[in-house]
Amino acid sequence: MDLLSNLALGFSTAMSLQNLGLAFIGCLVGTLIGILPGVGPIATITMLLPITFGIDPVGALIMLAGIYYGAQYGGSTSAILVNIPGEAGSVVTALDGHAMAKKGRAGAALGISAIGSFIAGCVATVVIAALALPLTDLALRFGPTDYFALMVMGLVFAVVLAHGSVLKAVAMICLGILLSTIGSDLETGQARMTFGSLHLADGIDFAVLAMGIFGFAEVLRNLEGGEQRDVIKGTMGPLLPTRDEIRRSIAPILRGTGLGSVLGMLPGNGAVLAPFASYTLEKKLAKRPQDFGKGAIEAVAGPEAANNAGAQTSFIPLLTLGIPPNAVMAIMVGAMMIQGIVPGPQVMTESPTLFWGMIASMWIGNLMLLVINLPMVGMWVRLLKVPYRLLFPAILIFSCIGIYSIDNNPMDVVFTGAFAFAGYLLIKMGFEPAPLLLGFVLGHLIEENLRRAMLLSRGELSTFAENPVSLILLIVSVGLLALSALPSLRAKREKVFVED
Amino acid sequence: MKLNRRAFGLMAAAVMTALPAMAAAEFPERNITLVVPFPPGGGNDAMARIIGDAMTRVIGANVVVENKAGAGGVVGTQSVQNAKPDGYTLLLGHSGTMGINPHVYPAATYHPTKDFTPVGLISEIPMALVVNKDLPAQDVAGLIALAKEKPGELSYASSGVGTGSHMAAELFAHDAGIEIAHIPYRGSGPAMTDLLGGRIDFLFGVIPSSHAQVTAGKARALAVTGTKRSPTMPEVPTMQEASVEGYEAALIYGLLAPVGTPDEVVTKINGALNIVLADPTLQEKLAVDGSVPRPGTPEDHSKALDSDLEKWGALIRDAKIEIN
Amino acid sequence: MTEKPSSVAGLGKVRLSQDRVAGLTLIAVSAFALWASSDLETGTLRFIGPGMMPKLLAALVGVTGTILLVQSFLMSGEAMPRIPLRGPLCVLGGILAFALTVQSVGFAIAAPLLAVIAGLADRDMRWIELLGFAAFMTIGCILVFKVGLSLPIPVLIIPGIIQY
Repeated sequence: MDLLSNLALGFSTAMSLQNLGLAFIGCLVGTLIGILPGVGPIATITMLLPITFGIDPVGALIMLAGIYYGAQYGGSTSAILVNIPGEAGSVVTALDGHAMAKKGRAGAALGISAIGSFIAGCVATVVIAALALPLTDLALRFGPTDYFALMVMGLVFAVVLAHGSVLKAVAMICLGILLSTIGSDLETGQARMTFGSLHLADGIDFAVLAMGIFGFAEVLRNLEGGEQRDVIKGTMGPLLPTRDEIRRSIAPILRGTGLGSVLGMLPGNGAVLAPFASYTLEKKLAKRPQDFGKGAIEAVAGPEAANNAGAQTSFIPLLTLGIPPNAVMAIMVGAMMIQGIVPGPQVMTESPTLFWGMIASMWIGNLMLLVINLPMVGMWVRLLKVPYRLLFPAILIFSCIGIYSIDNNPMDVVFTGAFAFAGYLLIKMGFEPAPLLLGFVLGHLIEENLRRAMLLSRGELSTFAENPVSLILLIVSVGLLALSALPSLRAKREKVFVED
Repeated sequence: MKLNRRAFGLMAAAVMTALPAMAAAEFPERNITLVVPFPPGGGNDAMARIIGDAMTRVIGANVVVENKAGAGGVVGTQSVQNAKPDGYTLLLGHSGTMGINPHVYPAATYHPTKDFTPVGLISEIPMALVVNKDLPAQDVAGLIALAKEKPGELSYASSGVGTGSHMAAELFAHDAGIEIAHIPYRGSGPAMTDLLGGRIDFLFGVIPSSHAQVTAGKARALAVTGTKRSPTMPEVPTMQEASVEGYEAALIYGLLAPVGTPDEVVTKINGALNIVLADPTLQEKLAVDGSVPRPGTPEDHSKALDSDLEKWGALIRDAKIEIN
Repeated sequence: MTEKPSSVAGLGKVRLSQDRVAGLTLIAVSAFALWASSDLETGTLRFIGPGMMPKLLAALVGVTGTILLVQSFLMSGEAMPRIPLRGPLCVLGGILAFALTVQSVGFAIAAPLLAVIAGLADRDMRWIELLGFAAFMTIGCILVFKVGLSLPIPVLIIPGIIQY
């Protein structure tokens, strides 16, 4: 019953008029900035961080958390509407979400992603409140070998993600990892493939790459299409998800929530895999896997739920250990420090109002997002009716503002343009950008964990086999790869006869 | 606390009314930009915002923090180096960007006192030597003995190559004559994760967050790296007390302006900085990151920068730390 | 793998196999990356150097490229589609114009430049509509991002006169 009294404390904190207001403003502003194409949660929070400085610690963190959820949701919205993901998680949403938008079902995609996120948020809040502590110690057992194996499994997800040639998908994954190695080497500080450019020293920014090869390349492709390229072709279906669509989405949402919750609490940024894992799982379970990639609602519902659940449970290492599992949480640590709070295991005992207030505000924030966003769905969908000759300059302006604002650096805009052209050529050659992006995202994690594992094991490869978790993960990966390679070869034949 | 603040306000007012008598009567007539060469949300950013906010109230102009991140701080640092030397562009510099980077990154071609005008020290941040809770070593001597028994087997985590946590550990290895394995991480959080998970033997971390893990019983602190014990963990000895003679590792933080900034302007900013550093509320805020205020003159800062550059340079040469 | 007949969109009359172009591109990328990473130490398994991953991945990209290339000779695949130049040139030109002007002159000039240059990509472009839309977008963005959210993006810089 401790839990109930703690939650009561949390809700009494989070429900104060001031904190409710802050959560609302946070969600709203986060959504508005996050919806800028290519601007994901990290960029949004860094941009908006200063506005929270004048507020008391609990209020400031509640508002920041609101900005985070808002930005996450806003990022999904731009992924669905204009096919520009702002962070790794929305790459998956962009795949089928944008395909749905093209079929006139943008509203259903936006609606199901709001509903899925809300359900995931509710479950994840309960998980955090009830299990945060015992799970923390369990998650700490995960070491570099396990993360390496987990990320290798992520690469297999990337193969599943592609619906064309497996060989081409593998090429794109390798290219993605290769791109991720550009920049200063973590272990030696040596500049890798930067050609002396300071701008490349920190590597390529995800948003720059994603916006280029995904969003802008799509614009270039649409420009070819003459009269046919308006985003919504033909008639629009019902605005919100139909009853049948919701029924089909329930199970994916729940499975996604589970996957996201588990992966999110790993302190080594496991959350990044959640949407990809969910997509893979749903594609394997689906009755019609061939619809995936062409606007299957399950492929939006599951990954969106996984993404949100993971985003939320990634607060666990932060709140219980004071350790940030990803870039967003690292910014939260900075915000706590500016507020005079030392992040660490003592936060829970020394500032229970902060700890439980934040947990309660997570649920409130998710509710607010639903309330803010469902009515806006209609507005966003109407936006797509703007003729493409005006829509695409607008997309370009918003995107360029977004990219410029990430670092206030015009070079980023130039790089985005270059990636756009490269991405366009890749599409022409029959490559898909999604596996490249996933390879890019996992590249760092794979390399760093491999090198760390090798340093710690003194160069013994057997460390992966001796460690049960990594062994199981690697075996599952190999199995998944075998399972995916065969049907996708078959699917390709099918596709050849179905299309054109 | 209230009384203190009022007294502090009066003092500030008195100093500020005295200052305009000097030549820089008009400075500042517009906003002052304080460049942080790291992204928002880190320890540097937090310090800059705390100091900037306090100085705004004293100096008579807004001190606006601007983050110019990139290449381990080199990008932002160079942008200040090339800014107009009028006192309106300041840099938050620390041992990492000013004392270590010039030895580590070929791109960092600047010299802390030849290419910049030191304005004043803000603080220094000593660290704590924290070990995994299951490590048999009970004190620093025990740790050294363990390392000598198994050369190269003990591993330490750092928050990256050339960071304070890396240098402090290398200095320890150098001074104690031991061989240890360096495992770099991206930031202090992941480093601490593997220490808590028992895969890393020890690390050097900032005192407050290390203290948080120590009090929770998840790790043990063997020593602090400053010359004095830390008020946060008074029971923990300094490295010198714990048998490593002459060892000191603390990161210094300070404000710098481009070279050629007029003396009057520097004096004025230095005056304002020292006023805010005397404020107990500000000291409390800085303490979150383990900062110990070090008010002083621009000359003090200049000397500290030179000796910092020399100290880390000598270590990097002597210990043949492999960078590049 | 694919025995699909070529689609109509060949490059003029010359029919280029898509896989052949793709394979050659990958091999080129691989060679470039191998060259760019040649100064990096590969290291050993225990001390993996900064060069191991880049070289390994570059090699893998090269291997996939070679397989694609070989395949393209063994089987007939899809043809390389036509690549029109008008769209990419206008869009990239607009992006470049934006990047060059946003910091020196300001957003109030950069945004309309981007909209107009990129807008030329579309054959149905109407000048009046495009100019009006560019002005509307620019003002709207200034209001939202500069006034509303105070992002640090320069709006208009005329040296000595305006700096906003």
